[in-house]
Amino acid sequence: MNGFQKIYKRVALGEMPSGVKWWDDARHNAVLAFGGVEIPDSKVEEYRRFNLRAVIEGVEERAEGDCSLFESAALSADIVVEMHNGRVMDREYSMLASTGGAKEYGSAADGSAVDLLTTIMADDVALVRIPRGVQTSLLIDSRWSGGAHSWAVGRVLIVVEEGAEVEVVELCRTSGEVAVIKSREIVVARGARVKVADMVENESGVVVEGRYTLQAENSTSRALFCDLSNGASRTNIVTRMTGAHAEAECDGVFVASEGVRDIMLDVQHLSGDCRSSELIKGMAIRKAVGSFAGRIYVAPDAQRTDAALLNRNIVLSDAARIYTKPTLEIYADDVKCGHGATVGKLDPEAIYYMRQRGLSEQAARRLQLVGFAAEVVERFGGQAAERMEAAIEQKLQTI
Amino acid sequence: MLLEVKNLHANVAGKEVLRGIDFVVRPGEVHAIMGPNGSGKSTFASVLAGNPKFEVTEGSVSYDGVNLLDMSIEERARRGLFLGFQYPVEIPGVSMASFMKAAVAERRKAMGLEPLSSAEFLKLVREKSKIVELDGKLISRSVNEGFSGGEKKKNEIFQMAMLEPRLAVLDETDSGLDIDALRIVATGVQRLRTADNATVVITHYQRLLDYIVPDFVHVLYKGRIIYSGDKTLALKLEKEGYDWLIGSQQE
Amino acid sequence: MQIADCVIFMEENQNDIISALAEGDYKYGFTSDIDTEFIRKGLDEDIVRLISAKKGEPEWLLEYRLKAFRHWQTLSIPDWAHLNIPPIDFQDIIYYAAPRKNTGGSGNPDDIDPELKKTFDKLGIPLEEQLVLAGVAVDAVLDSSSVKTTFRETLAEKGIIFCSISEAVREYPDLVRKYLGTVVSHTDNFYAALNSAVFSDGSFCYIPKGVRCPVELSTYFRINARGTGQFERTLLVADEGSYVSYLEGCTAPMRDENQLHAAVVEIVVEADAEVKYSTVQNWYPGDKEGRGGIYNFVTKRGLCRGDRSRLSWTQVETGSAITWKYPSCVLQGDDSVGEFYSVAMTNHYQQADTGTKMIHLGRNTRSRIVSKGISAGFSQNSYRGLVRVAPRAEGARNFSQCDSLLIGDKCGAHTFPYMDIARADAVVEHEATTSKINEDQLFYCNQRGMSTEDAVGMIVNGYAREVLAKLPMEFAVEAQKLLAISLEGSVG
Repeated sequence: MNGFQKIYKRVALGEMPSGVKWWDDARHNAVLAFGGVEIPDSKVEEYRRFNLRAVIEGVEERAEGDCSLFESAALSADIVVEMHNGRVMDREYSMLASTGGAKEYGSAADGSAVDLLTTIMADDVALVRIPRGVQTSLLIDSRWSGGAHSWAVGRVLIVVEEGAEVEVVELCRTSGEVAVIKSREIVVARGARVKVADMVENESGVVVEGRYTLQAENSTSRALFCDLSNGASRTNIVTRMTGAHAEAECDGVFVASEGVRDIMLDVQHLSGDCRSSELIKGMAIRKAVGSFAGRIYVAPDAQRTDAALLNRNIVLSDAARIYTKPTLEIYADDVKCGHGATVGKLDPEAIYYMRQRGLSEQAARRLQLVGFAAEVVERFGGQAAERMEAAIEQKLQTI
Repeated sequence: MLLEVKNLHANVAGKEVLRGIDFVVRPGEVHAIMGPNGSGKSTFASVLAGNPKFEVTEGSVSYDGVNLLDMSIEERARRGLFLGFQYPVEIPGVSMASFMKAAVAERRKAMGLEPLSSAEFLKLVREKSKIVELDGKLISRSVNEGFSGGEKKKNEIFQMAMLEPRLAVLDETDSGLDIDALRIVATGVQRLRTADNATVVITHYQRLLDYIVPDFVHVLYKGRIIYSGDKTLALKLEKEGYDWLIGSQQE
Repeated sequence: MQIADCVIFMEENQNDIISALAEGDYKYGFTSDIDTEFIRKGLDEDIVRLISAKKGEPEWLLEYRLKAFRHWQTLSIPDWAHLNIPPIDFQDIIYYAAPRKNTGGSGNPDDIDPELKKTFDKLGIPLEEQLVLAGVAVDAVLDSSSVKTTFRETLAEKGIIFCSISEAVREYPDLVRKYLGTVVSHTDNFYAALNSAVFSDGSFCYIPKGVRCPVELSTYFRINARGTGQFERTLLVADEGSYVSYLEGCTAPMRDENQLHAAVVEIVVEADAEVKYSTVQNWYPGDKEGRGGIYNFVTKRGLCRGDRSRLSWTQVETGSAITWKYPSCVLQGDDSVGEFYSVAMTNHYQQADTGTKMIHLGRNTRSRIVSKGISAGFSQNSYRGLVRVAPRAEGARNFSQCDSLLIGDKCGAHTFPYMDIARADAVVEHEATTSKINEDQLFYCNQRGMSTEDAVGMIVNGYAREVLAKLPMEFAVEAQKLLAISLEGSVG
């Protein structure tokens, strides 16, 4: 039994009480639910490109790296929550520092292996509650550091109450070959608005992440992710709209350069009159594998749904691979749903045009690639977008 | 001599399109190349630019005394060869700003000049966009994306103004333009003439040549230059078409 | 060729079967008692041997069947599709049914199933043919030997072979052996393995080098398709530079006592050859409550083996309780082209999980997919497709357009496209939209006096036009009518 499993067992047997009752209950329920859920391996279609079980079974001890060695995030926000290997540094934002818990906990998540594992294995949970009508900004500075075969787990809950507005930036950085498993729930109440930018800077570790959003009526969520790093990652993004007139936008750009980049996006219209749109752009270079599976799900009574998903990919070397599977599951009829996916190459006409203006072929390719990726980021704006654009330019210099 | 073309033969997709072109351009000159559709006018322009779709099978091209055919597309461009495209391609996501900044930097490097600062660059953009009456805002748009036909052609001349080429080859720059756009584009080209540079204008219609008055007019037919004259030749072609010339050709 | 002609051939060929059987009986010493009474239900090695013996097959074919059967035993029933399939008891099926001897029917139109008759009438099929299609015709009604001779002669002159697989095994064993199982291996999937073990009969077609087949070949023109259709096996080979357009299926509802149909179709296209394979399938969909319909689980695949070969699949699927099929193209030859055009319509409680696989292996290959799904009633309709560009497939291009139309709010439409791309120079584009019928269009038609039902029929046909246009003309007309009929009860 590996280190991960040892702890799991002890938690399951109630041998690791946290001293906080609601948390122990939540973990207990997760253990029960987990009995019915298997950690998927590559034989399961959803995890064909990313063997999650192998990751979990390959770890030994908890990560103990020094997270204070990271540079400051250089991003400003009203609220800053810093997490070191899952531990919330400022106790004000730790759910375990209070005994009350939060009724919203677990409501946005999807009951999958990633979700349940983080509840069972985390020893701290960050909670940020944005009170009614308040407008603010939040930076989650998520730091992970550990050697080969080490693991760390983190969990975040953000509750945006009625009419509140928050701009969230999460910067996830790793150092060393640590395996990170994390979940984040964002519960968006009626009329509330959320903007979330996720940047992953993971050079040698493995990051498995669940990002869950639950939206009530008239709420808006706007998300953007950017993952250009060399480490492997599996990202599950699940957004559920349960109230009418909710809007969800999720855009992202990823580069698969060494390890596999595996993204699963699931947008569920559980109520009518909602709108969603996603634009995901991917690039696969060298020998990397980029994989995207995106689903739009429209429930039986979710009429007047407007949903669109667009996935554009570029394969840059003959040893790289892109797998894309955008799917539609539609059970209502008064809907407008569409998706598109392309896998293509850089436009040779455009490269010729740029060369005729004196640019080298390489410079022309780079400009096109930067343009390809930047389109997604430009629409978002803000300081996160600036950081992402700089990262994109820098990354594409190496191609 | 700025450009000397000798017995140039070229193929595209295995078919011979240029069948032995001889052509000379000296600094300060404006040459017009006319001819019926399919005669090889665009091919000639593409071959000079170095478009890989075309294969030169025979002949030589010397540019400023150096073998042009040995140079890559960008090398020719950096040495001041400019092609005004007939169908300028759209490049979504790439802004005119980043594109032109890179192009201008390369040209200046080749000319032994220091690169421009951002402020200097923007100043240059404002100045040059006036030449073709283009909005300075175009610099933040993606290259040719959403541009009307006229805007695309003006954008070609704007780029020409920014890059200050020695030899500009304009491929049907007047096609698809209304009277006003034509006037603006043509006036722009005319304003960029100096004693040191030269322009080759490929066109179907006489009207462009009212503004860009040529020193020489050549007729290209089935891959060869079959006749050369001065600007009055263009007027005659406009009135009488090509038949009188072609009829007298041996096949 | 008109449907009338088709019927003529069916008649003639049924007589052929009877005589062949009589011979067979004698040759192998079986009596008619054993034939009709003692083929037990279930499937084991003995049954496979029995089937092979009854058909008088050579050793190599028996070995093939046994290999497939043994492999089938190691497999478990697949359940990954977006389908709700009631459990099938494979031991509760009779795997060998003597082809229907035409003992003659009453010849009375009243004996035709009324639902079936309504459909036949709507399709404009003359009464005589209705009798035959419904299995109610009297023996040898029509005298048509002259027509049959002409047709067979035309084909024979050109060297075109078109007969049943059983006949081909006897007459052209080398050809069959060369190609059988090379496109769909018995290990391919559960139902392909089953079919390879117990296939009853099917078509064999061979077009020689450089020959352009002068008529559309149809399953009508060979030995009776019905009654042997449960595990049908088709093999079509187009040699270099040849052309054939092949039609499978029937627009009249095909009833059969057997609920499970697991067919296999293999097509080989050599260099510079072209095959157009069209299917208009209207298997019985079951009653309005979804009971009794046919499960159509088919493995269809074409190998574009030679350079510049082309294969185009066109299908109109409106019947079947459950449709599970992915006609596919393996684009092995350089510059080969694969196309898939489909209209899949589901109503009431029908389910469909259908689509295509385009596997790009050679250089400069192209594929095009146009799929139009129409869901009505309580049905579930899924498109599932795969476009794979292998690492050596230089310059591959694919374009896919998959649309779904929903009629009514109790049905579902789903799209599952998979793209696996391993080349930097591949260009793959996929687009899908899902919507319902435009109400403005409906109102406009109503305002011009059309009933909503007619309007919906017209709009649906317009929606499906791009696919219907790919069908040979006579089929296209029937298919349009078929769509309209299948929509019945979906509106209002």
